[in-house]
Amino acid sequence: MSKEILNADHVTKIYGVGTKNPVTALNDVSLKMYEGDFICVMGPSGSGKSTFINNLSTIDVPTKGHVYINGKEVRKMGENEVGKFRYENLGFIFQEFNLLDSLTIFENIAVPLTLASKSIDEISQRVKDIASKLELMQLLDKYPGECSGGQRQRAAIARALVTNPKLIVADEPTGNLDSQNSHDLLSLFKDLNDQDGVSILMVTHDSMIASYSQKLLYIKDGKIEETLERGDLSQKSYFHKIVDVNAAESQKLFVD
Amino acid sequence: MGTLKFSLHMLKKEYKKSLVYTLTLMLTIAVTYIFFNIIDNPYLMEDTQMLVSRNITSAIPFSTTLAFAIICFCAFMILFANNFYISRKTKEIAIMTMSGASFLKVTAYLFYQNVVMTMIAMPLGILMGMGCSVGVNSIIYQYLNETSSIFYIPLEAVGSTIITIVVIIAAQLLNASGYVYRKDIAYLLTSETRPRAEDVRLIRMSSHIYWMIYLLTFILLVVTPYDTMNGIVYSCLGVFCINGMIKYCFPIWFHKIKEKKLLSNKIWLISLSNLYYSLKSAVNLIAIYGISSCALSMIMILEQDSPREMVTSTIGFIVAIVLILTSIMYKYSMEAQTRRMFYYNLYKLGYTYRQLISIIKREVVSFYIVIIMLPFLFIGTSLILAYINSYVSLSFLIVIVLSQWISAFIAGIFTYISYKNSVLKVLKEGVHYE
Repeated sequence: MSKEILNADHVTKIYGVGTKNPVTALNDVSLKMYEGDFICVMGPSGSGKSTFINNLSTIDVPTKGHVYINGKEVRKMGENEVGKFRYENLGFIFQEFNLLDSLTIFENIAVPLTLASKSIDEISQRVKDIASKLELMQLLDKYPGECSGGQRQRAAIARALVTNPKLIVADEPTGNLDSQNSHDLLSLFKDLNDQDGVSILMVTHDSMIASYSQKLLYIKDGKIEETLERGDLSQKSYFHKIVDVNAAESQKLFVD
Repeated sequence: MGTLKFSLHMLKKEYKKSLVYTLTLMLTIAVTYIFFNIIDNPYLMEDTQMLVSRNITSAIPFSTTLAFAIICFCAFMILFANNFYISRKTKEIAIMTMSGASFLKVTAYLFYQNVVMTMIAMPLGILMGMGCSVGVNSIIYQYLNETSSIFYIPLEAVGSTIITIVVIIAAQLLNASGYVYRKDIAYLLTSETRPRAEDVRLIRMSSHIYWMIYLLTFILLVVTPYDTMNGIVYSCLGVFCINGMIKYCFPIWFHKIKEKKLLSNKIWLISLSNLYYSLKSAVNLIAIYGISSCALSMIMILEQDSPREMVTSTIGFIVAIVLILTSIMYKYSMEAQTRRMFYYNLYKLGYTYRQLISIIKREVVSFYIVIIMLPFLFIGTSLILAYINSYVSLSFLIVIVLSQWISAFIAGIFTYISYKNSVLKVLKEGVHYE
């Protein structure tokens, strides 16, 4: 059996605790993630998807419940330890790319390696390797503001992959991409997952994109409403099942 | 909601932006009053009367010209502050336009806000100016052996200040309205976050030219026999290159340093990148700071034997430093507010809170060292040469040096606190996407 890398145990996240209007974004959610998993999170806007992956990936701390990383609880880890865990094990990809505007594409990709205290030679080599794999060599000296959406997303992917992370956390990674770029990105994710055993935790609104995963979590009002396993299904059949889950939720909104 | 109510509501809501602008306006009004006092106070006009008695009726004392130049400088600072203030409001203007507000309504919206801020800043600024003028009067009276009351308030100075400020604000309002009229909604919505403009120079000189002129003029200042006029020419020529150096030399230098030395340094890699961004966005102010502090220092060296000129240029020097540093601080703080996501992203990548604080600290310290050091190389050298050649006293030298460094130090502390609070609060309050 694969090694457990993440364990969210009855996680609840409440924003604005102590104020007049506290908001429960996540309500008693549990999930175990193992090496090589490819999990997709879907749900309506405001359902708590981003809060869920933020809490799982140490970006946010749960109000109640526990998150264990490699068997260790996040809350008991020091700030340095959490930071180290992030740059050594996690690769983040977001809809808005989240590249650092004042750094060149080269420097943006290099940041996780810099954090990991690699030597200048090693940083240069690894950045160039990943840049050539993602066809970014021509863009290395440019700033994010000088690149197109697709180019920026490729740069963000390069930054996420440069440390060979064990887990990729992607929040709507295809939200700003056209269909071809979206397909390319998901093919890359699939290869990383199948060949290198990289675990992927991804939020998306798109059923087609979700059909690349092995497991789907449907979140609504801060709770996991439904879990779908791909198992031996073809991608097409799995896609239809995902569409059904989404459609069922949408149909509940009709009055008559 | 009517335009008046909405504009007042937004003014209250965005009070941080408005407060800094109002403070800048108040300070500028105070300075404008101080220099109108120098021009209009008859007890400070001994030089002119002497000249008139000698039938040199057309002569205007240099201190009056200098005072007028500083008033023009104040006008520029108001224009700059207002321009920057409006540039941070483009999103709300765009939303108003999108909601159907006409050009006139948008103009009225800006007008009401400006009226409120000017109504607050004007009396406070004039009162502050009057308070400072007492000190100025006492210093100049002492030099001129004048025994009149130091509390004398020339009404012409009050009138001139009010008229000048109203005219500047009105002109700026017209300019802002024109800007809003010319730009479409899509442009206004994104202008706050739009990347910096490309190189728009008509003649593209090699970046080496800037630092070579800077260095050459410095060498000439040091090696040629010291003369105050030489000092002014070389220093001003050198300081003129600051703008070009920051825009065109620094990116190349910084890039090389990062590539060769700092790529493996997690703090400096980010600090230096941000430093360039901050310097570039305040480059015009930095150049004005360099030129005015350098020119006024040279005038002070030149006018050591003319009390009225000396006092006027000294006040001008202090005012220029305070006003420009305040504007730089204001711009820096506003820019910092747009970097929340930047620091949040660094945090996501694995930077700790302490490391982020180090990044901010080093960026702010380096920023102020750069803006002080670029002109200070000339100012400091000129002062030392003037001291060696007995043009100035040691105490004068120390006062000028300290006034520059201490003011920058204070500005640095305020900038650091405001920057840190703007960008790192989000990490303590929890995650909120922008």
